[in-house]
Amino acid sequence: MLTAKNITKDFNVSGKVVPVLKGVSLTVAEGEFVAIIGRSGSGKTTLLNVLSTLVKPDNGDLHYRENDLRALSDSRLNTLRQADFSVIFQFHHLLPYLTVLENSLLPFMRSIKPVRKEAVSKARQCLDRVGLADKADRLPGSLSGGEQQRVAIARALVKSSRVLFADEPTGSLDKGTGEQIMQLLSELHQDGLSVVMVTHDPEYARLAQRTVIIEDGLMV
Amino acid sequence: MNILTIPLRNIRRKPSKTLLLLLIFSLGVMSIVALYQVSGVVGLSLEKKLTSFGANIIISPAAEKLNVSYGGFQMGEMLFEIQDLPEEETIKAIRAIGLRDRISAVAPKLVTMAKINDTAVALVGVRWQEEQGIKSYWATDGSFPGRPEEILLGSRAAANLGLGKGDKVTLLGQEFTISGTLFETGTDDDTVVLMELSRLQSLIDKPGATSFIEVAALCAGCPISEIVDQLRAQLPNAEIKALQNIVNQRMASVHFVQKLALSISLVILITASAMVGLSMLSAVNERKKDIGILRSLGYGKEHVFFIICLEAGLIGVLSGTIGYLTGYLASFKVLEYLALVDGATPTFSFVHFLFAGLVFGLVTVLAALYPSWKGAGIEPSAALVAL
Repeated sequence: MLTAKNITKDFNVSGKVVPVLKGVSLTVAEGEFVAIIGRSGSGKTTLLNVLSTLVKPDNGDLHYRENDLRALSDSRLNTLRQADFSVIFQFHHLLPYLTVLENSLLPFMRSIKPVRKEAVSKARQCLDRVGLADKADRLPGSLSGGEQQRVAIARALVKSSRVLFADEPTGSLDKGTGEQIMQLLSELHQDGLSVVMVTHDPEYARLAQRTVIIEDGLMV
Repeated sequence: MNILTIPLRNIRRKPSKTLLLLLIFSLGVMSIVALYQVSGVVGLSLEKKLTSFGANIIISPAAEKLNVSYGGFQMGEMLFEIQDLPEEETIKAIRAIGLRDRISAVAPKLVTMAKINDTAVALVGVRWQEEQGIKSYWATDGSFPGRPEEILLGSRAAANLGLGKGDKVTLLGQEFTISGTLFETGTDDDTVVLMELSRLQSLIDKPGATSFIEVAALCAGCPISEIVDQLRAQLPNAEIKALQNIVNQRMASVHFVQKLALSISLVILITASAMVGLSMLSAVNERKKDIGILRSLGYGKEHVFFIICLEAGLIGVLSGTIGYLTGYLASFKVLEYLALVDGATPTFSFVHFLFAGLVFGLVTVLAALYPSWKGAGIEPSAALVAL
C-alpha cells in the first residue's frame, strides 16, 4: 500500500548539509502495524514525515496505492492528508483555542460550509470510544497529556483514515497513560487501520506486527 | 462549525492582544471618522460664512436681445419684452427645488432710474435683511435704513450728488432721509441709491415685482450646475446664471479643509494598517505550530491564507463599526471644543456605518496580505520544526 524506495533527505543546518536519510526503503502493507525504532537523531521522525508527505524527500520513490506521491500536486497531497492519512505527534498537536470536539472535526472544517451533522455525531462516538465523551466541550489546555493524545487519535478515527502515522505517541506520557494509548492503537489496528509508529521504546514496538530499525539514516 | 470557527476562536484566545489591536485600529478609524465629520461641518460652516460675501447665482427675467441697425444708424443691442420677475412666486419656486437645503440666501432686487436734484441715479430696491446677509462687507458712515422713508447711498453716488448722512431728498415725488453712505465697496453698489424693496415697488406701481434675484447657494457636496439645473426646471421663463469664479473660489476654500482632513486621515490609516500588518506578521511567526497542524490535516495554502486574512478582516470590520460610532460621537465634542458648531451638526448615516465596517475590513485584509502569503507559504516541514 505504501512504498518508499531509496529515500534520501538532507537538511541544511547553519549552512552545512547534513544527510539524515541515506537511501531508506520501507513497505507498509494494508492493515499492517509497523514500528520504526532507533536512537535520537537516527532519522526515524524524518522518515515518518516523508512517509506522511509532510516532508518532501530529495531522492527516491514514494508510492501510496497507485499514486506516485512525489509527482502529486499540492492540492492532491492536501486531499490525501485530509482523507487517508492521520498524524499524531509526541507533543501538543491540538489547536489550543478549539474545543476537543472541534479539534476532532478539524479536517472537516476546511470550508465555509458547516460540518455535517453526521460528522459531528461520528466525532462524539469516536470521543466516546477514546473515553472523552464527557470532555467534548473542554479546551485542550484543561486535559492531561494522555487525553490530548487520545483526541488526536479520535480525530484519525472521525475521518476514517487508512494510515495512522504516530511519532513517539507515548513520548511525553507517563507509563500508565502510555500503555493506554498503545492499547488504543492496537485496537485501531485490529479494526483494520494501518499504523506506522516511531518509538524508541522496544517494549511498545513489540505491539507492532513488524519492527524496523533505523540507524544513522539507514535501515539496519 | 466551519473554517470561520478557527479565526473567531483564535481572536478570543488572546483577548488582551486582540483588544489592543482592536483599540489601535478603532482609534485610527475614530480619528478618521471624526475628522471627516468635523471637516464636513467646518466646510459647511465656512461656506455659509463665505456666502455673506456675495451671491453665486443670478436669476433674471428671460429677455431676447436684438442688434438693431436701420438706415446706417446703429442702435446697438435692443432688449425685447423685458418683464419683471414676480417676487413671491419666484422665491417660492427657488425654495421648492430638490436641493433647497443648499440655498443659503435669496436676495430680490428691483432696479429703476430716478432723478435726485436733476441728476439721474440708479435706484435699487432691496430687502435689507437678505441683502446684508449676502453682503457682510457693507459698512456705512451712518446706519442702515430702518424705516421705508430712509435710503442708503453708494459712495460714488453720494459724491456725485453732494449728499450725505441726514440729508433729505425728493425721489419719485416722495421725501426720503439719507440714513448713511456706504463705504466704498469696489462694486456696482457704489454707484446706486438703495431703498426698501416694497417702498420702491409701490412708488413705481409695480407691486411684487423684481428685476432680478441673487441667490447664495452652498456648493459643498453638490456641484453648482445641479442647483442651476433644478432652478431652471422650476423657473423655465427665467435666465439663471452661475457665477463660476465665485463658486470656484469658495469651493477652493472648502476643498482645502477637506483635503487637509483627507491627508491626515490617510496618514492615520497607513499607520494603523502598518500596525495591523506587523501584528499579523508576528502572529504568523508565533503560529507556525498551528499552521503545521492544519497542513498535516490537509489544509492547503489557500486555507491558511484565508484564515489569516479573515482574522485581520474581522478585526477591521469590528474596528470600522466601533470607530465609526465613536468617531461620530467624538466629532460633537471636537466641534463643541472648537466652537465651530454654527448650526450644522455631524450626521449619522447607516449606509456610511456599514461602509466603514466593509472598507476598514478590506483595509486590514490588505494589510494582512503579506503576512497571510508568508503564512500560507510555510511548508509543513518548516512548520513541523516548531512542533
